[in-house]
Amino acid sequence: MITKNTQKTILVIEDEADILFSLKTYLESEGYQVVTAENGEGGINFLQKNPMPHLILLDMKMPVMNGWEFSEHYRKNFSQSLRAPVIVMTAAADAEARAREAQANGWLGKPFSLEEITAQLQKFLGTHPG
Amino acid sequence: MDQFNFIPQLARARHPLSQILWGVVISGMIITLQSLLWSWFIATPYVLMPLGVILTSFFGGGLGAGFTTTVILSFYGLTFPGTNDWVSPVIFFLTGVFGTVLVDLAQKKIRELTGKEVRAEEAERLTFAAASANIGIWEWDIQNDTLTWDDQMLEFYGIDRSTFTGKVDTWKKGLHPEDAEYSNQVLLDAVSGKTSFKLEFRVLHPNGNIRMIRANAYVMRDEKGTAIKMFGLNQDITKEKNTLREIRDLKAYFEAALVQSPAGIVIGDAPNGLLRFVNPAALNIAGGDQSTLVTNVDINRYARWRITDINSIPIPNEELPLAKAVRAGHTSSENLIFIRPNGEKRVVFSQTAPVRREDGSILSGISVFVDITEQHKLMEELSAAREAAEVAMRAKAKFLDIAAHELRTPVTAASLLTQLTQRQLEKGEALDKTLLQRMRVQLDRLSRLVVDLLEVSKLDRGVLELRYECTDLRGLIADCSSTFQIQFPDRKINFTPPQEPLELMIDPIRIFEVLSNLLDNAIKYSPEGSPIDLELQVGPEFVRYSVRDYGPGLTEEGQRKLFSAFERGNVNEKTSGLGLGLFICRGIIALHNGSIGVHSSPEKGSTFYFDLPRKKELQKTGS
Repeated sequence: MITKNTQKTILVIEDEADILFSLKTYLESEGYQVVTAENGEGGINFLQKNPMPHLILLDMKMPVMNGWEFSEHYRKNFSQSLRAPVIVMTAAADAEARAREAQANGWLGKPFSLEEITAQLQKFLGTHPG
Repeated sequence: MDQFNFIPQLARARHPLSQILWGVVISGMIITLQSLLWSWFIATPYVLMPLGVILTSFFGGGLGAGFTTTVILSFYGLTFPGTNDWVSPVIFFLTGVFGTVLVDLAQKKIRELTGKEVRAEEAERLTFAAASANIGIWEWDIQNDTLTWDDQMLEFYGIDRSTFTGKVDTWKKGLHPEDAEYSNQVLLDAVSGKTSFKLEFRVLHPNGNIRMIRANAYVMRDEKGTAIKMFGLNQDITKEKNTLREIRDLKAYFEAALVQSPAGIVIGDAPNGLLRFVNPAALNIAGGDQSTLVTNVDINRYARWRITDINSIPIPNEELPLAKAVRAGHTSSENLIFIRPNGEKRVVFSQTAPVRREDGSILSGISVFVDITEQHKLMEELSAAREAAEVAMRAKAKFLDIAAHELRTPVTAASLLTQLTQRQLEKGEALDKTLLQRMRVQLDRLSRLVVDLLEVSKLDRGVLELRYECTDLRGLIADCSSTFQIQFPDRKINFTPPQEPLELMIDPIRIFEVLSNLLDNAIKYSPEGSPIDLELQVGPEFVRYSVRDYGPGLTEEGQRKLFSAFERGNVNEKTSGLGLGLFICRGIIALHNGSIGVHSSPEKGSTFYFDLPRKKELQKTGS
């Protein structure tokens, strides 16, 4: 029903293995193509070598390169017309403010439900993953 | 005013002997003059005699002088050429007697004529002066006891002209009983010539009012020195005395207030700031006695007090508030520090101002200061405590933030995993058992965090309990080491255990927790692949366990914060965890009566260690 080349790609950057696993499992079951990175640096590396994904899900607190540092690199190295929307996932109490700080397009406050993810995806990618 | 007898005297009446002397002197002068001028002027006795008689009568002070001159000059006249018969001396003598009497009569007539005019004029002047100066005038004819008072006198003594008896008793009755005896004595002494009449006394009016009077008088005497009359003045000094008394009272009040004041008070006089007054409180605060105080000197060295500002910076004497107040009229209030001779410091709050005269010129400067050492200390302690409390509050707020974050991560993972499982079940798909496995891991992690938090809470409230067992610490370390070695196969964990087991009364679970925590930190905070060295040293009273890593080390600031709750040695957003590990370790070791610490410097790695006592009786306490 969905051909691979029309599938939308989502980059998930998250250091917590179980969260990363859950997101990947869920998004793939929804029909998206999922690529992952364990920290900001991995994310940047991926973006430099691959076509821009349709959406980036970004954890904020990570070792090596955290969400803020990633955002800074991302904005610096990729032009605005090229950039995919970024949705930050944060456990901070003031999630919305943190998202604004990182100049993200949307935010998910940890813990979040699968429905909340779906709502964000629909907002930025439309109703259909393909 | 006719009551007064001012007698202008052309020549004052003299004692008879004095009159004879005057006659001799003036005759002598005339004879000498005649002898000197003999060569070119020979005055006839007819010229010399009247001249001598007139001069003598005027200056000699009575008929006696004139007669003396007459006799002397008559004999002198006998020596003149052509007069050596008996007629001429007789004529001379008769001329002298007649001239003397005539001059005396003329003198009396002149006195009578001019005296009246002078008297009226003088009296007018005197009345005016007396009225202006609020002075009463009196005269007392002592022989006849006739007392004459002007209206002012009556007013002073509070009596009416109609009741005025004109006797000296009036005066005596008017005196205040307490002053009467003394005043009467002064009067008697003045009359007898022992003293002058000059005194102050109180007057008691019939209506009970009291006036203060200052009196002066002089005594007129006859030729024999007998007092005939007294003439005097009374001055009402009630107001003056009252004012003086008020000023004295006021001075007494102020002095008492200044002396009794718990505040230190120092007064320096303009323009040089000579020290006028230092109250006991000031000496007390400055910590000296009178000997430390040099009064009546220039303010620049007025006291051997050392005064600094509140930051302990010495103030030069000429810049002291009092000096500036006296010199330039400065008003100021500030906190100062007095350094006592023994070196003790007292903090004072001081207010200084110039004291000005009515015309605005500076009279003196006054400094008032209170000792606020205790309050100042309290304030400083309070502010330090508040600062510490604020730091603690911030740390706690930060900790809450971190704790929430740390708790949310496993909750998020577990929640997502649960939702996925639910979805699979709803869709009728085969259940992925790894999801449950992962869920279990996350929930374990969550419960560990909760246990940590509970432990901190217990330590914080002092209710963490230990379960002591006789435990081989060497074995415990070996177990911990091998557990981590399996978990981190690429790290070399070196532990050379002592030959003998080391048995101590400890809580093995808690101590294992400490061992794990220290080893976990060493691995976490040092580069991958670097070794970790464990060591167990056994002393006579203590054993020391240490963990050495080859990581980045810690700054002094980091080391200081290390063992407090909610702090990490190296603040780093990238590091996860609650930062409670070392705080819990310290708590556990402290409960074992041991101590925990770190030796570290940046770039050189860190050695964490703890010491535990070997004596069992100590270790049993607290279980």
